[in-house]
Amino acid sequence: MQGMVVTKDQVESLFAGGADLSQGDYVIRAVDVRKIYRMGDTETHALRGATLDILRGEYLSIMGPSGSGKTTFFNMIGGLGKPSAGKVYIDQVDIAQLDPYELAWLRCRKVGYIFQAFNLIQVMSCLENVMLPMAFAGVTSEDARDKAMEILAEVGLEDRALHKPSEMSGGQQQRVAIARALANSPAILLADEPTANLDLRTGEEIIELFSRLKETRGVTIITATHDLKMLKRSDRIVWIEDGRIDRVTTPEAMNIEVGEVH
Amino acid sequence: MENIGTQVRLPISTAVQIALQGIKIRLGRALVTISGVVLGIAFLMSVFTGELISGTGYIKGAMAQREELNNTVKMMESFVSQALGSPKDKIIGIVVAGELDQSELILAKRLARLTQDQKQAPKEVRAVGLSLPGLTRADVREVGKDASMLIVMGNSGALATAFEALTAGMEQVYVLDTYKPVVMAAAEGAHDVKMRTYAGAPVVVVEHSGQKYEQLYGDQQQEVLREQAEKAESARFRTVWVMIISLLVTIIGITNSLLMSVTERFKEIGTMKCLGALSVFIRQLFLIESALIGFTGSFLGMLVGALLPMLMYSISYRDPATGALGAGFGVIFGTINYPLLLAAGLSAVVVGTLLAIMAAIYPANFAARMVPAMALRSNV
Repeated sequence: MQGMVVTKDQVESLFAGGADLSQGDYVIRAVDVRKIYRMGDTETHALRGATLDILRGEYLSIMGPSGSGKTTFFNMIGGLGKPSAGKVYIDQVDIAQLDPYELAWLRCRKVGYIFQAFNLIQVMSCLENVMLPMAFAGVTSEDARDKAMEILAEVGLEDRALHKPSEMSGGQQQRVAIARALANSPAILLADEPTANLDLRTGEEIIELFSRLKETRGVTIITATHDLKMLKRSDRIVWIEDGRIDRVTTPEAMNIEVGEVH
Repeated sequence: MENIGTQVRLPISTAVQIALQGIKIRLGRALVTISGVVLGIAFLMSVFTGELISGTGYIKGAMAQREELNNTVKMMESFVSQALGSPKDKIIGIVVAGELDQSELILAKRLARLTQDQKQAPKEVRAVGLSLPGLTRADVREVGKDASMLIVMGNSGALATAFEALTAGMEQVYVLDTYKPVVMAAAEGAHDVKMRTYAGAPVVVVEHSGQKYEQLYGDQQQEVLREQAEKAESARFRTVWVMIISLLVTIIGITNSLLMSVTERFKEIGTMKCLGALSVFIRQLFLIESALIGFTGSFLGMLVGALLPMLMYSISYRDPATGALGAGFGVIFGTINYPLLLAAGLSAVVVGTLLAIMAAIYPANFAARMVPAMALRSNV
């Protein structure tokens, strides 16, 4: 196992001048998270005690083979499910304590979700798609329209605002989806294989956009991905295996690993 | 937890807007579901409309009135044929006093037509106070001469006093009286005649000496009426049963199509939840979608169910006197009770919409329970 494990000092050095680690400016903290799925009599242990702190403004990638618990972990830290045991704090809030209304509030304003298959609402125009989370947040439609246009301009799609998703390329659709995720200015962008359905070049554009958003908005980006280009741009890579955090590495360390494999 | 708020419920208008968009994009599916509702509600409405046109109960429709008229005329005719056997070679006299009602006029017209028939034609039909082609004009004193039957018509009892004079030339003859007071008067004089009246009330039969009163035809008539009522009752029960079944089938159809729609939209629902939609909102979305489908379908079904029976009754309507087609549109569309038709239509639309909402309860709850993580599944 050549992948080097990042120490806390190394992480701090990555964020020199950024987040204040001494006060623990973690946007997400997962403490000994366990998740058990019950299907009749059989129990499946998807997570067996995963602990991870994610810094505000960090660009984090999560790696792991299928069945490793990667998706479950991803859901837990995104507020999409509650752990069977252990704690998940999003912005210092223990999500297990939240009722459905508060959870919906959290998903609406704290986290922006980006999906592999874009998941745009096909019946709505791009503009309406971006306006939807704002409608859920109770923003009036005029304000929502103005803000949606601003964000669409930010991702370079202001001239396609009234098009339906089906009239757009995959890369454009994913950019609309990113705009939608940004609608309520979330602290976290949670992206599940965002480049898997895109060709190389448009994938790179999306990665570029993520990096830019990290800089301009200071948003924390968490992706589950196997895309090497994406891994290379991230600050840390979390490896999950058999329901646990196996190791946390830097992209540089992964380069060595990949070098060895090939 | 100072930095956590509670997600607010959205106004219904937002859900309506999104539900409408959903219907628009899946118009094909929506149309199939709507047509199911149209069929169910059209059936319901056609039963209502049919009741308004031909009902015999509380509300009497145009067709029911025609039917009643027909029955009245038939009953009078059967008195004639029972008394005379075949009218062939017989002489029949008609005396009119006062105004004729519809059934009397129809009877007179039929007798007049009968005289033009080759085989069944009576020898002569004489009439006093009534002029129709086929009838012979007669004098009051002559009308009963050699006649086998005298028919007294009209709403005036004036003839009662002249009764003896009228029947002067008759021996062992029948008098069909369509106006009761005349009979009562005739019973006073012991004339050697058989008399029958038709009426909704018990029929008085005066025989020979005028001593004997029978309620023969009254009893028979009541028996017939009771049988008819029993038949109508069982027909109504059957109709209600079929109606309930058809509405249940409609509900199941809507539920089925909504369940499919929910399954198809797993990812969309999950995505909306990820974006901050409450379960209440998702439930609303499907309930509203179903209500819109139900309302549209019921409205169309109500129109079909009202117009189709009206057209069909209009086309098949035969004039009671002449048996001719063609006058139906005026009769049906002119006489139907429009306030009641409107009330029936409104209730059909309300029933259809409520049923659609009921049908959506299970699919809507199913959708509302969907977890947001469903959005991440790429294979659905």
